[in-house]
Amino acid sequence: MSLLLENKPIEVRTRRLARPSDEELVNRTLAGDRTAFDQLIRQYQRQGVAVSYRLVGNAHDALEVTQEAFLKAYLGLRSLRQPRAFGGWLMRIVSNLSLNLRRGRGVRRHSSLEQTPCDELRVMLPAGGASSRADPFRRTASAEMGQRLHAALQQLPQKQRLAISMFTLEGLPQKQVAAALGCSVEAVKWHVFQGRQKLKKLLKEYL
Amino acid sequence: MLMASNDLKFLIAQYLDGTLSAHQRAQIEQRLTEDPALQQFVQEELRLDGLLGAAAPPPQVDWDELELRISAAVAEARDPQERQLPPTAWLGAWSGTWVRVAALAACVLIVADIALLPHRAATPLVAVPDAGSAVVIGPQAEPPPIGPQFAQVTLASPSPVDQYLAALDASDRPSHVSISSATLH
Repeated sequence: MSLLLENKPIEVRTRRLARPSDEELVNRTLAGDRTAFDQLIRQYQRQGVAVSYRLVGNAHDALEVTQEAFLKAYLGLRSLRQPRAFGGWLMRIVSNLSLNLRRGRGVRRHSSLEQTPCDELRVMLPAGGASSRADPFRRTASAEMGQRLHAALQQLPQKQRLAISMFTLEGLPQKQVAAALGCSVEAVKWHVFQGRQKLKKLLKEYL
Repeated sequence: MLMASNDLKFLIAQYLDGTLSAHQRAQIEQRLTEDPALQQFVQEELRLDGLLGAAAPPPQVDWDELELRISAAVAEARDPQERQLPPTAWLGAWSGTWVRVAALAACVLIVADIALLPHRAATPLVAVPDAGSAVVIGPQAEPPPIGPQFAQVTLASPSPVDQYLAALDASDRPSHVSISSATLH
């Protein structure tokens, strides 16, 4: 970008503010900086909700799980041996809490991808929930497809399901997924690959 | 049509994920032009991607509101912990510094006190400006032990005590004189 001033072009460089690293934010939090953990919340809340949503099947529970995960992360921050791996560690907490919630509540609530949120959470969800963007036909089709996909994902082994949710659906880096699953990056690739092959069989009629 | 092996399919999946090296990519692309089964596999993978992307959009959330809510929950968990800290905790980092300075100062005072102890023992129990003129001790008596009620005093000369003693005969002189601290002022 250049500005013309007194017939002399002046180069104006757009400067991007350097975002503090996870390691720095974790260390600042441990040192008592209250704003540092807020930055971590801002940075990872979307991933947390998205990953949890894939596992618990509804936005209300996903929000609850995400909040609880951040709380657990904050209280256990000193036990994090590699502060730079905060993202993967947090996603691991999110996935564990989501799976615990699923186990605790049984399969009855899994079938719906969108449930009525409680009053406190309603303000965070737009009217109509997650699938309100499309027209009614597409919304219905998308909701039906979402339910089929969710049901198919539930039939995968846990690590394959988590790997696909985090890597394929949410686009998390493989390294972060590896940290969340407690395995190597190569293992993540293999879990994703195996899970996808099973999904193709389960969703054959749509492919 | 040859069936593609699982390993080859795995490599193609990595190719689609963009995690292969340039050399590996070139090899896979070469194989794809030759093998219809692999082309079929690629088509299935792309269709599955489309299905996954379209079928389950993530929830729409008021992220600012959620951030505030999580932040408040964290603050609520944090504050009871802080309330359990000792009363001086509000001083924060300063309290530690001041405690260390105070401890250091105390140590210096104690060391200085110990170092000066011999000098202090040699000094008279009551300090008098011009020492060395008179010792008030009687002729036949041993000097009494120095205790709380007695003081070995070196007085300035001529002092009121000297004048008093000079006025007495030797036999009338006391073996020792007890002087209260009040008389020295």
